[in-house]
Amino acid sequence: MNRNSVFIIGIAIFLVGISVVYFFSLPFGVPLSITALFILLFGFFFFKYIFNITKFEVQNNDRPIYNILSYFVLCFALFLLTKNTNNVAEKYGGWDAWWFWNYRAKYFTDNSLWNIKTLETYDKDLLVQRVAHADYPPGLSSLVAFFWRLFNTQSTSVPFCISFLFAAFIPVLLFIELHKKNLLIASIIILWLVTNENYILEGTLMLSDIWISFFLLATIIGIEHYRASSNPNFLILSGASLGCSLWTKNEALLLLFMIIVFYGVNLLQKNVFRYFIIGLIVPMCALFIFKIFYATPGDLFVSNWHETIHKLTDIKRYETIWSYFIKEINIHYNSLKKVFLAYLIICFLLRKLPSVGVLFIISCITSYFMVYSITPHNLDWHVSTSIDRLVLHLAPALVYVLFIGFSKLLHRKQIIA
Amino acid sequence: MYFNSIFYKVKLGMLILLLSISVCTSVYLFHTKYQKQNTEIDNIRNGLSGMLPFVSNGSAFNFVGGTPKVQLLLWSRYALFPIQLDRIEDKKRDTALVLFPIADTVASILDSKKIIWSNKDAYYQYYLICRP
Repeated sequence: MNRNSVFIIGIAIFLVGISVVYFFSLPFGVPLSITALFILLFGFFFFKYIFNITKFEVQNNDRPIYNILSYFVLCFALFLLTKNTNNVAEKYGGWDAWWFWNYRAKYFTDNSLWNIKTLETYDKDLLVQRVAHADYPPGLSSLVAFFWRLFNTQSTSVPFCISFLFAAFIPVLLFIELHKKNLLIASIIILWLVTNENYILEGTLMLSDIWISFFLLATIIGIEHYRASSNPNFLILSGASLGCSLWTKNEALLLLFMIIVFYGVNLLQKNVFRYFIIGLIVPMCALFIFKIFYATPGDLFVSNWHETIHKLTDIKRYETIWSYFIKEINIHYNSLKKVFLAYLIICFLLRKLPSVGVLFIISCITSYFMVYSITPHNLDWHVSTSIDRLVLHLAPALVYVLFIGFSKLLHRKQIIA
Repeated sequence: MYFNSIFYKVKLGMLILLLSISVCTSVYLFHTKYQKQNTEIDNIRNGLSGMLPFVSNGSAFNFVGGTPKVQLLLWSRYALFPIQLDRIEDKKRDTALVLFPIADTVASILDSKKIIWSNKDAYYQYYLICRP
């Protein structure tokens, strides 16, 4: 992993770090100035660590990877992203932004609502009664609230800026990671992403799905680099990225489970799983504290197990989910679908299993389907209003694992030849 | 090779610069495009602004809204924060915010209620009512 990738992932993790610190400063009534000072201190040591990792990488980098063409593609892609997002952005973001992400951020800016000294006396009513989706981790809302208080504003330019930053990080990270292997394909990928209608829209809606998308990509990149270099720092970064996604949305718990299933055993065998846990532990503890003391029970799982099993085994529900999924893929990710199918066909012809990364993404899609199938809400409504965001979670990671998968297949073909 | 070495040396700084330019431009364009644009939330905020002197920050009201009810409730909540508006009527409360499109008739809702404050704009009619 080169220093640019580490730095981008580092900035994203630092932003989530701000969110965690700020959130836990609220119940204790810590003044904003003290919180900000603590964040500065945390930032200093964190980026010292980040630069130590990259120092190691620069020393071992044997060829300059950037050239004028790379910069031109990067500039052009960022220009397109800036232009396209400006065309589709809405003043208050998407429905979910003004319904609860930014609305909840308002709660986190109001000191009088948090005038409590201990966690035990915390008035759960604030979150239970008044704010929708109170079971969602407060990552995005807390970060927005911190900057709102810092700049003494409640302008939606702040959540827009955060949203855009992550929307820019994803294509840039993909490009930086892939252009070393093939500049042409990396350029096609970055230009495809910054002109993808769904991606641009999601990047401007001020929602947290773009965070999940970024952190899942960063997690897989970290693991892949560990496999290539055996540098444990990449595993720590990878674990921290996954931890940050946990602090963002409940869906990340499912992704954590899948990561452990697909990569954990391998890491355990190499006796390096502890590095992954080191990165994961802080955000995970923050999430557990939030879930135990603050969050309301989620509304997704129905208590009646008979009903749940009935829903899980109802084929018609899966057909409904599949129809919405395919519709979304055909509209917004048709080229990705073709590349994905081509990869599966090549694997089949070569009598080779798809790579772990591709299998991981397929399993994530399957598990999302299963979660949809047990929804207590109207299935059509639930799937149609959220499938685009769930596909967004996985699309950049799928692009990355497909690229790596193709590289390995071609490498294998060269060896055979 | 010359250019390669230059870009190799400054690549992180260059990347930060490119990202910063992109983010700043995007936020600037967003800010200038929307600061004067009125959305539904702004309309409702403007319409309800006259009510604020009559209520305290920690107040909680029932909400009686026209169509689209969910949106009107959520827009009002967003605009009036930290005043609490409840979707489900709380019988213990005696005060309610009534918000309907301007074309709707609200006489039956206001009947026998004391109107604390009211307002009308081009889109909506607003009433803060309580039991007499």
